[in-house]
Amino acid sequence: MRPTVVRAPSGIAAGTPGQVVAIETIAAARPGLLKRLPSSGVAMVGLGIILLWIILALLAPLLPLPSPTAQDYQAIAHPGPSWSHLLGVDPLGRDTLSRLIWGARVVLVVAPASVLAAYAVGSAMGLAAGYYPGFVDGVISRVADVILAFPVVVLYVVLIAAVGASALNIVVAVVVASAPAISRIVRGLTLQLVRQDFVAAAHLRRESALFILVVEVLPNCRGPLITDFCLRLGYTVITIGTLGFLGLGIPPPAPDWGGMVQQATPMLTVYPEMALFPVVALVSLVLGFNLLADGLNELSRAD
Amino acid sequence: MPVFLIRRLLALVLTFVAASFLVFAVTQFSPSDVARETLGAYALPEQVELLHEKLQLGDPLVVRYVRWAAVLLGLRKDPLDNPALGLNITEPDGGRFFGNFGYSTLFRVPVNDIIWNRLGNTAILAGIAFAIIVPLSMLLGILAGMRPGSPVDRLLSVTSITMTSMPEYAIGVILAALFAVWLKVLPGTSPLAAGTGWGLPSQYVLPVAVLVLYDSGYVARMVRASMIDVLGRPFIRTAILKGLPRRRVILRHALRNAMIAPFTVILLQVNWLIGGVVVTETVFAYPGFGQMLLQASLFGDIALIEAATLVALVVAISTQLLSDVGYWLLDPQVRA
Repeated sequence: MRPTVVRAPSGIAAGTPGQVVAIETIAAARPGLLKRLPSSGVAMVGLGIILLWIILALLAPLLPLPSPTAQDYQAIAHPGPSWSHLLGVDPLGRDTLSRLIWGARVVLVVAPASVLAAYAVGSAMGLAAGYYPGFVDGVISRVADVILAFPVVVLYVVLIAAVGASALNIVVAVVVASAPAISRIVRGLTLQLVRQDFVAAAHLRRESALFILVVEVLPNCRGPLITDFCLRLGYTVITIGTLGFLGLGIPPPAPDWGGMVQQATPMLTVYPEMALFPVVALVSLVLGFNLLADGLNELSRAD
Repeated sequence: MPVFLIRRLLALVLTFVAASFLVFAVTQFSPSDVARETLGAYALPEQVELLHEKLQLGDPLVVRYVRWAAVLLGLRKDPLDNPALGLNITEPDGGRFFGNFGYSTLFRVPVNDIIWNRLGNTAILAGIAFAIIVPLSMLLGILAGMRPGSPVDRLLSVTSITMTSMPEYAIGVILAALFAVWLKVLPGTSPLAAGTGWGLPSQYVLPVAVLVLYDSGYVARMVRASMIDVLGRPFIRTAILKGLPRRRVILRHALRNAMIAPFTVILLQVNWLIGGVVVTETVFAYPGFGQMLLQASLFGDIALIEAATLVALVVAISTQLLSDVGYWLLDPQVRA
């Protein structure tokens, strides 16, 4: 799922569909969106899948699993599922189930860390652009335009290939690629919110710009942002997997789902399940985030 | 209109300059170096040092960028294209022409000799996929949007949310396992070469299928949302109350208006499709543009990376421009 909502063409700014949606969602996002979560079946299924992976990842050191980097040379001859390796082994004889569960730890740390960092940068950019029209807005919006003009995967490939593959560089690449999109959403919301009475009241109290943006404006952006956050998490899981598949992911021997698919793909004709297990793991986690986002979206539209 | 277009074109040129500088700057982080790559792994450090000096690679980034841009614009000869260096690199066109992307250190040929061929292959792949995605997702979106909550709508929602949760390589691996490994009806790789035992058309099936499955769900959802939105507007109620048959209301009144928002989305998909193509081509070893970009990036072939990203940007930005103009033409309200 791609995170950008219908983007209004940039040449025609005023009164475009995107902004109408934004106004509606501001009005709709009453506190308690998360409290009403149980009423959405879709969201609960999504949350369940995510929680399952989180629990597995947390329990990884306690589960009776071989080390994710230990090689069982005898199993390489028959790498399919067996009693000693429930989901089989990879081409180097490492236990697939163990690598999947330990790999969940990697992806469940790197993906949220990247998205949070992207949100920190993107929100700051969007708040500044929405609050200071003119020069600041112009500079930030042009920078965002340039980055958003790139096809996303092209940007990732060029960036990571140049700076080298590591967890930190993946976080940096996700920030560079997604902060501009987040900044656009936050800028749109800020433009609407600064015209409202409570911001005028804060101005009258002579609050500083920083206080107004962080305490008055930012919390009111949260409705549309919660959904976007979930979608972006799912999308970032896909991105990390894609980078791994392209050979630009978290470097071996760390267990990385995308990298597992890459290593198993040459053996697809002989042992297709070797590639299919990590694919299923990745798709299930992304599906969890997307279902949760879908449910949240329905909920915020329902009222 | 002309003012709006000229402003957009100007912004476009500025975006190209900024983006190409960005890519140029990023590639400087790469540990490899044009001199080392040109001479190969067996060159002596002194030789590399000498070429490094002759190519003036020690100059500041901006100076080197301007030099590169001058070669691209045909104002300057490619510095590698110099008989005195003894590298045996000569451009057939005399070395000074507009669009000179330089020399690929990975493939050891001028960039222009490789990039257009690869781009052509990708255009065929993406073209076929696009020709299927657009009508298919429109049809599905309209069917689902006509009756929200109906079984068709629910089926589409479930399928599209599942498909959008799948990365391209996941779809690729699953399809290849199904059709190439178990059923053995299609080839698992598409090198577009003779002698693989599979005809050329059959090699397109799986890559195209991946792109279609990957993209259609999203576009269909957009069409559905737009259709529901339009069907709820007063003029549709008027048309129904006027006693028009439902078919006529949908075909004549709703469809035209419902197509405006998805039109933009569909054109912006081109940008998205370029990314999908990089992964899909890697899965199926398809000799296209995306696979070339990945190889160039992994190798650190700056000339080829620059050329490939610029071409990708031209495609992406021109479709955005097209979508803006189309939006302007389709919706009389924005013109006012």
